[in-house]
Amino acid sequence: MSLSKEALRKTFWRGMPLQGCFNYERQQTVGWLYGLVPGLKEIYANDPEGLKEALVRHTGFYNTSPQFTSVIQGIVLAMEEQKANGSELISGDAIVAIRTALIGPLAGIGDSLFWGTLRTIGLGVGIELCLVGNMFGPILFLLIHNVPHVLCRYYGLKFGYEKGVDFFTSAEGAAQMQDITDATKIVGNVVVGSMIATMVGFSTKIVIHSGETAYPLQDMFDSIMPKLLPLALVFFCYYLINKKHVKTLTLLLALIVFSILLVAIESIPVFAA
Amino acid sequence: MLLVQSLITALLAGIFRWDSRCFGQNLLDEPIVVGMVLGLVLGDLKTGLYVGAQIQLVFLGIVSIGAATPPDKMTASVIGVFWAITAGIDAATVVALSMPIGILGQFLGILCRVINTRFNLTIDKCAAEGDTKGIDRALWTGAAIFFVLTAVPVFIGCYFGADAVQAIIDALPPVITNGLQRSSSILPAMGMCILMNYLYDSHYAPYLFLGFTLSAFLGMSTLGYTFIACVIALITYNYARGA
Repeated sequence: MSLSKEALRKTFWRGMPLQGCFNYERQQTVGWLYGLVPGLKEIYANDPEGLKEALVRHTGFYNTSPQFTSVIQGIVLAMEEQKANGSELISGDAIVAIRTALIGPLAGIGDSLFWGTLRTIGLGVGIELCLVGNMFGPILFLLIHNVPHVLCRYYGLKFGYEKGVDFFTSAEGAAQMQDITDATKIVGNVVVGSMIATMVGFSTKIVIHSGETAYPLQDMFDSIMPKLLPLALVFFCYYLINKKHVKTLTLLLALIVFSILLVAIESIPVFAA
Repeated sequence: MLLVQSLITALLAGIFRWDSRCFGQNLLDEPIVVGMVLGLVLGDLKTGLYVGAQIQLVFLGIVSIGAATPPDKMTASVIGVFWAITAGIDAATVVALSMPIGILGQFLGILCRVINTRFNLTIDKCAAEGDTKGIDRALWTGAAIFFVLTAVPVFIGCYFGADAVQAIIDALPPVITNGLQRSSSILPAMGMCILMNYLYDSHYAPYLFLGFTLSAFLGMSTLGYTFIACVIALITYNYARGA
């Protein structure tokens, strides 16, 4: 493990622009190669042909969670180092195979943890504060997402470089990752559930007149359970998107038209208070 | 004045775009953050935060996983908040317009990615020749394309857009404008269900209803149910690891 601190430091910072040249054909590859340059230059300092070979090796497709790319950087550099030092067990193909095998699972766990859980929690907390004009909303949101983000990047590189290959290729590692993903989805779902109750403002002012008495429709719904309408609306929209594959824009237009109709109906004298 | 504001906002939009391109993806491009920054810069923090939050609810489920290029929440909130603050267009209208603006932004994002494909050839050549500086250049040129193709359209939308939108709104009948007002509290349902599409399935349904129950029946605060969620997740994790 002889990469200099400087090379590791540069590797860490070069992991940031992973998506700088994103395209559909090879996705994050340009950024990935950019991130390996300092490490490979040091490893193959006395072997220009080896450097070219290594660079070409890493021009293949690459896509993973940006927050976890440093793990793979670490693992790959550790393997390249061993190869350059003459290890016969590690071929160029093996390095490419490990890289390809890791990008999927790390993307899965990273997306679930960061997009699914931390972002959702952060937004749940942040939106509430923003709606009352509190600047701590976005700040807390950024902290909730980015403190773990930076920790994952920093310790990910360290862990990947020092221990990585063994952990991730073991059954133990795979099971651990599955359990972590499961836990993150639990938290994400709880937060979404409560946001349905607090952030979807669907109620109605329609009043049904029967003889002398007036029955506000909303009271009827509320007596069954609070927030019944938001819950029903969200699940109906979910059904449309998930089972009927309605497009987002169509749903948006439908909801806007629905809102207009709701306002129109509520203003008809027969239904007004 | 509008010119200066539009220029600054366009530059900020380029920087927000670079959050996911060059700064490692810190979610600075989410509408509530955009709302806060633009609110501070344009001098109306309260509107910035409020409109940002409302637009966030519409885009709640928009996550950029893998190669997906969804409707662009950043340009939607930059232009939306800008119009709300500088032209006084009301929040509900801006929210209703945010998704269409986001779809325009999405198109620009797709264009950038298609253009950047040419750099794959560049790095192939540079790798074979050991030209690491060429690789560096390829990355940063691609990033520059993202910046320019974000900042320029945002500038146009800010500088020229608000007047056009205001004229259209003034011409609409009250039932439509009131309907749009109402839609701003109903549209979050769309954000929720898109997020559910990503997170939810029958296995996790109990947890969704747990969160709903805690909020609807008990009125628990955000941090309250977040803590309970983490507790349950940890219990489940320990159980799974222990078993």
